[in-house]
Formats: sequence, structure tokens, C-alpha cells
Amino acid sequence: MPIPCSRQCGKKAILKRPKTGHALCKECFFYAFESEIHNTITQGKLFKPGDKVAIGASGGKDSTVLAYVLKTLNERHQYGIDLFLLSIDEGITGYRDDSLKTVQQNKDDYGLPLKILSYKELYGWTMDEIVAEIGKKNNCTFCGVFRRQALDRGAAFLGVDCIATGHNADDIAETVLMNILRGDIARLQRCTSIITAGADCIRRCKPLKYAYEKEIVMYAYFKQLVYFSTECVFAPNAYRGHARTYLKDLERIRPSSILDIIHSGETLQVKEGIKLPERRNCSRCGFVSSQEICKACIMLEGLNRGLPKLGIGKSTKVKRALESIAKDKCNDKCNGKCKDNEQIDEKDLEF
Amino acid sequence: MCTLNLSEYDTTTSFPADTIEAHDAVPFCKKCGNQEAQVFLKNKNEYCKRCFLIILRHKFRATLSKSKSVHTNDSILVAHSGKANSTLLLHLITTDMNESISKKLQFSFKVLYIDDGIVKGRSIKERESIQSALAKEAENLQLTMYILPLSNCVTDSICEEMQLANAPLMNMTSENTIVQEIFDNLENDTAKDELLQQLRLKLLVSAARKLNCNKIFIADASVDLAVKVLGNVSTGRGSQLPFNVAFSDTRYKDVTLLRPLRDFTRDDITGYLECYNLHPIFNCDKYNSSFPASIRNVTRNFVYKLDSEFHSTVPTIYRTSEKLAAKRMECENSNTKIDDNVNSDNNICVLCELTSDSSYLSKEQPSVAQAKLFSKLVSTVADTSLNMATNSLNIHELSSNEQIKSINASKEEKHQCQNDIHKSILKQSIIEKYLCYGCRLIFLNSKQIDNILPNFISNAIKKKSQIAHLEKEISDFLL
Ligand SMILES: [Zn+2]
Ligand SMILES: [Zn+2]
Ligand SMILES: [Zn+2]
Ligand SMILES: [Zn+2]
Ligand SMILES: [Zn+2]
Repeated sequence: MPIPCSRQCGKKAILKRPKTGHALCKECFFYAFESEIHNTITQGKLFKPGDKVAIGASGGKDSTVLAYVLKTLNERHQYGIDLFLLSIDEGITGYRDDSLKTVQQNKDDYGLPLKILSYKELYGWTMDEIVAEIGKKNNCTFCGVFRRQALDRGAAFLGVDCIATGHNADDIAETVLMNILRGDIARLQRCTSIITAGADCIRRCKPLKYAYEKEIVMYAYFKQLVYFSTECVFAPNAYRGHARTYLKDLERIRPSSILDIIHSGETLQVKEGIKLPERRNCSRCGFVSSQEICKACIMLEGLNRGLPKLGIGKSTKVKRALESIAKDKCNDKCNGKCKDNEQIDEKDLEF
Repeated sequence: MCTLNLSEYDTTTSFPADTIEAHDAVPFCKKCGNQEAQVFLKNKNEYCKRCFLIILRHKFRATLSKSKSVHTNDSILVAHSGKANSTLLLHLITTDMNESISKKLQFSFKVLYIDDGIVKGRSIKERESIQSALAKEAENLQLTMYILPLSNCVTDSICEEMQLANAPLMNMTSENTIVQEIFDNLENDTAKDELLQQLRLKLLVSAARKLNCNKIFIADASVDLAVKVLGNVSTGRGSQLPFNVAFSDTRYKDVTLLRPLRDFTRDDITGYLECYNLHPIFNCDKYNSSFPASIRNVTRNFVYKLDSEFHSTVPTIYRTSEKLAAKRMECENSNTKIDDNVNSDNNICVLCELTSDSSYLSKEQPSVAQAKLFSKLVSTVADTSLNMATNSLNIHELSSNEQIKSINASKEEKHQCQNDIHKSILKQSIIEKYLCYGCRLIFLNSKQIDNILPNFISNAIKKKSQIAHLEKEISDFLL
């Protein structure tokens, strides 16, 4: 016997919502999925009329669905925002070919402008050139640091008001867990915010914050949206791999777990009196940094002076100290984590 | 600080000669340096038995003395589960009690075992053998130990009679089976396990009151706390972490919960049990089998796995939790603050007795709580008036409107079940009103919501709504 759609539209259901367990027909699923994102956008006041909004686009499922839904909702509800796709090309031969092709396709299909910014434009160096300078061994340090900043730099370069990223509920729940496992309370406190912004930094928002990964895949499937499967050649590091498996196990035994974890994050904060690392802006480029000069700027300085491995070199003691701090941080940050960045792609989980 | 006299321990622990030959280089104890190491810990530390036990004893006393939370004349109820942790804790306290007066821990204590066999599917025979094992343990250690069946939590007078472990076997066949029905109606293992934890806590606190104990020892070791941290976060109880995993839990005014084993590692516990040749009544395998598909069990497996691969994970997890607190609501004006104080009792969850976390969320900001309501709405209601054009909906209002609508609709459609539906919707809204986010999840999809609430919850709800009613009546005269 066919199951009727739980919105009582008279049609029969063709799917069970992974998020709520309700049986819905195709149209009602579209309605529910889009309404929820619209609700997130209006309630969270993510956009203002006239905003120039960049969609961080990698060609993966999340950013593809995000682009499609934002365009649809912007037209349906007259958000009055100026939407475009923003992709970053690291300049690694062959690496971006497929995903950029997908983004190109999205551009044509949805009629959204596309801007591809290369590392060459943002930093003056392609990853290939950096690898040639420093060898394969250390390049992970560079890609990790550069990637984290690329979207912000790109957005600033283009005078954007807001970057919308494709982080979904699963990503955020996973980040909450990872930050607890790592003991990173500052990020734990930040990572469930729907909008993040530095001092004079560009707003970042997550319209898919409450959307389940499985429903994003369902939506793409039923809308027949083309996306580039970002199955990565790199396995996630052991730690994140365990956390991901754990989250999947939780979702299996109680589907609401993903949201319940985010709820925990939303109702927590760092205790009063506990010191958090100061967040400030790099004195050179102005982007968020934990140091006087950000890691990206130090590394660039080193590259430009022909001293790539030494960062800014030996000219002054202060700079040497800065450089060594930066280097140490990068090394322990990149211990296998860089591969993670590759996998998570433009949605660097460093929010 | 703890200063133990070393000479009170037997120093003639000896190794058979052939063992030494087999391992050509037996390392020496890291602490005393002149005994061969007998206990090998995962953190690469190696001790002789004597030093190892001194260190653990010191750790235990240091935890208590640092926090200054146990005083002379305190009367303490020790929660005994029959598992490794509490077996160790009991042994530790009892042996400490036998020390010379000057070093003696200055408090009196009693022990409580809660028999939850009825919901864990244990046969009466099994439960009887557990009881006689407990009686034996009590006799060996010369403890005052009580046994309280879980079914007591549904009777109106919790802990009417406290039964001693060495009393004649209780009659389990005549036991109240309501609690079993309640559990049978719950949706899944997670709901059952969570309710069990809450009921155990309730019983424990009621028993402490009955026995005039002002403090309770809970034998959570560091790994248990790490499991609790992740388990709490995964069941929407993040804001309760400061109580649920803290060394000292002060949610009850008259009884304080303490966790004196919080710095004990898994190695410490197995090492201690081995040194004294202690055998807990329950071993781990048996324990794990109770609610295998519960979030807590999945979390436990995850944490144990991490713990064996990355040694620093467990301490990192529970230290992280120490730095966290429930989010403060940013009050726009001072009036809201005063209001909060007046109504603070109304925000207490009737099951876990912690502040309901909805009060930590601003109504204007998007939140999971609202996203869930909205999801339910757009997945069930065909009404086009709540079309996507509706800006800034008040979801709460909307959803209660919808509830009323659906009550009306069902009245028209089928007269005969009108009452049932009405009742179940009422219960649903009661659940939402009086339980915190985490406790709500326990009952959310239960089969039969009607007789599912244990008596004390219904009573607490009745009392609360009466007080709310009174408050409304006199509200004009309150300043
Ligand atoms: Zn439908
Ligand atoms: Zn790397
Ligand atoms: Zn910089
Ligand atoms: Zn020794
Ligand atoms: Zn509760």
C-alpha cells in the first residue's frame, strides 16, 4: 500500500526525510527543504537588500545545492541580493580541472556570474610554483595556510559584503565534536554561529546550517543538479575519521543527533574568566590572525625574498621570532590535517 | 596535602626468580627506584605495587582535599554499581577508614546499590545472585549497604523502606511492574538508557535524604567523564555539562554529588583491582550488553577506541568540559532579569532538575529548537497560509495554532478517538513545557505517551501548573 504524503497533499510519498522521518512526495520535499533554508535566512538576517553575496563554489554537492537554492529563493522572495559564484584555483596542475568544469556548468545552468580567482592573483604564486620553490615536503604548510584565507582575500578583492558557504548540519556537528576532542574551546564557541565576522572582515554565513547532508544529496538527486563528487583521494586523518564514523553511528541510532549536537553547541559558551587566544587583524593584510603578522603574510614574504623555507629570513630578531612561531604552528597544524583541508575543500572548517 | 606513611605497607612483595630471568632487563619502579616494576601503565610509567597504590591513594585524597568539599561529620552515600569503579572506590574508602586516626578520612558513609535488573531484562535468579554477592561484599568490607529496587521510583513514597543488603532476599515477584511498562513504551535504547540514568539519579538523591546523607560519591573515572561529555553533547545536553561531569554537582540544595575518582585512568583502576585481587560483581562485557544501541554505549565504544590510540584524548575531553558553561542569555533590559529570577523555578526540568536550556536561547536568533519545530511544521501541514512568503514567523505560536487546528480537525473527522488525540497532544505540550531539551527527547516518539510519565513527574507538573495559576491570580499585586 502506498504511503500518503504527510503534508496531506493527496499524492503518495516517495521518500522519508532523513531529518524528521516524515514521508513526503517530491514537491512537498522541495517545499520543506527550501522553506527551511528560507526560514534560516530570514530569521538569522543573513542578507540585507543590496548585498553582494559570493557563494564559495567548489563544484561539490553542498555548494552546488546552495547556489541553486539561493538563486531560487532570491527570485521567489526578492531578497534583493547580488549573487555570484566564487571559486579559488590553487594552480595545481590537473587538480581543479573537474571541479572547475562543474562550477562552469553551474554558472551556465543557473545563470549566475562566476569569478575564478587564482592563487596567482591572490598571492602572486601558484601552488605549482610554490612546490617548485620549497619541494613537495613542506607544501602542505602553505596550502593549509593559504587556503584558509583564500576566500576572504578573494571576497575582499571583489568588494563582497558576504560569503555564503555550504557548511551543512553534519559539518557543523562534526566540528563541534572535533573541537571538543582537540580541546579548542575558542573554536567550539564560534563554530555553531550562523554568521561569523572579524573586526572589519567580510561576513561569512551558513544558510545550510540546519540542512542534513543526506537531504542535500536527495535534493540534488531529485532536482538533477550536476555536481562534482568530491570523493577525495586522501583519507581523512585517523582522528577526524573516527569522529565522522561516530557521528554516522549516532545519526543511525537517533537521526536527530546531528541537530542535538548543534543545540549543545548553541547553548554552551566558554566559562567566565577563562582566557581565550586573542583574535586580531594582521597588520599587513588586515585579515584575522592570531599574530601581529599572519602566517600567510610571513610565508609570502619568505617566498618573495627567495627564502621560502626560512619565511622572512634573518634580518631582525623580531622577525625571526615571528617566523619561528609561525613555522611551529604550521607544522603541528599541518600534521596530516592538510589532507583534511583537501577533502573538506572550500569549506575549510576553520571558522 | 596527602602525606602517607610508607612503612605501613608490606614491602616484601617479591617476584619469582624465573620471571626476572625471562625478561633480561626488568625495569625498576619509577618512584622508589629500588623495587622492580610490577605495574606498567600506558603512559609508560612503571611502578612497584606498593608505590603504585600509594600514588592512587594520594590521588584520591588530593582530589578531595583540593576541593575542600568533604568535611568532618559529613555523612556520605556511596553509589555502588557493582562495576569496577565503585568496587575500587568502596575498597579505597574502607581501607582508608582502617588507618590510624590521624590519617583517617573524617566522614561516615553508607552504600547504596540500585537494582535496575527489572528494566535490564535480568532474571529474578540473576538478581538474587547479585544481591547475595553484594551481601558478601558488604560483609567483607564491613559496610552498611542498602539495596533499592528501581521500581521504587514510580511509587509515591520513594524509598519507603530501605533494605539492607544482608537482609533476607526481598520478594521480587510481587514487585511493581509499572516501571517496566514505562520502559517498554519508549522508542529505543537511547531513550531507555537515558531515562534509566535519570531515574537512578532521582533514587540516589531520595535515598540520600532518607538516610540523612548530605553528600553522594559517584565513582566516575576520567574515561567515564569523557564518555559523559560526548554523550551529553550528543543528546542535546551540552549546557548541562557543568553539572553532569563536574567534580561537584550542586543542582540539589540539600545533597551534593561528588566524583572523587575523576582523575583515575582505566589503567589505574585495573591495576588497583589486580593488586588487591578484587573481582567486581559485573565485568565489562555483561555491562555493555544492557542497552547496546544507545548513544551512551556507542559513545563509550568511541571513547575507549580513541583512548587506546591517543592517550591524551580522555584528559583533553574532560578538561575541555571544565572550561564550559551554559550560555548566558543577553538581556536587553534589566526587567527581563528580574523576571527570570521570579520564574527561575519554572525553568527547572522536572526530570533532571536542571535549568531548561530553552532559557539560554534568544527567541529572535535562529536555533536548533526552532529549526526542529519549523521542520515538523513544513513536513506535516498542508496549509498554504504559512507559505514561504511569511516573513519572521512566530513558530511557537504557529505550531500551537496548528495543534489546536489539528485537534479541531480530528474532532470533526472521528468522534470516537477525539479524546485520545486530545490527550496525547496535551501530553505532548506538557512534555515540551516541563522538560528540558534533552529529557524531551526521551519521550518524544514513545509509543504510548499517556501512561508513560512516571508518577513523580506528573505530580511535579501538577504542582508547577498550580503555582503558575496562583501566580497569575495575584500578578496584579506583585511589585
Ligand atoms: Zn506532498
Ligand atoms: Zn599539511
Ligand atoms: Zn597577513
Ligand atoms: Zn616503588
Ligand atoms: Zn531535563
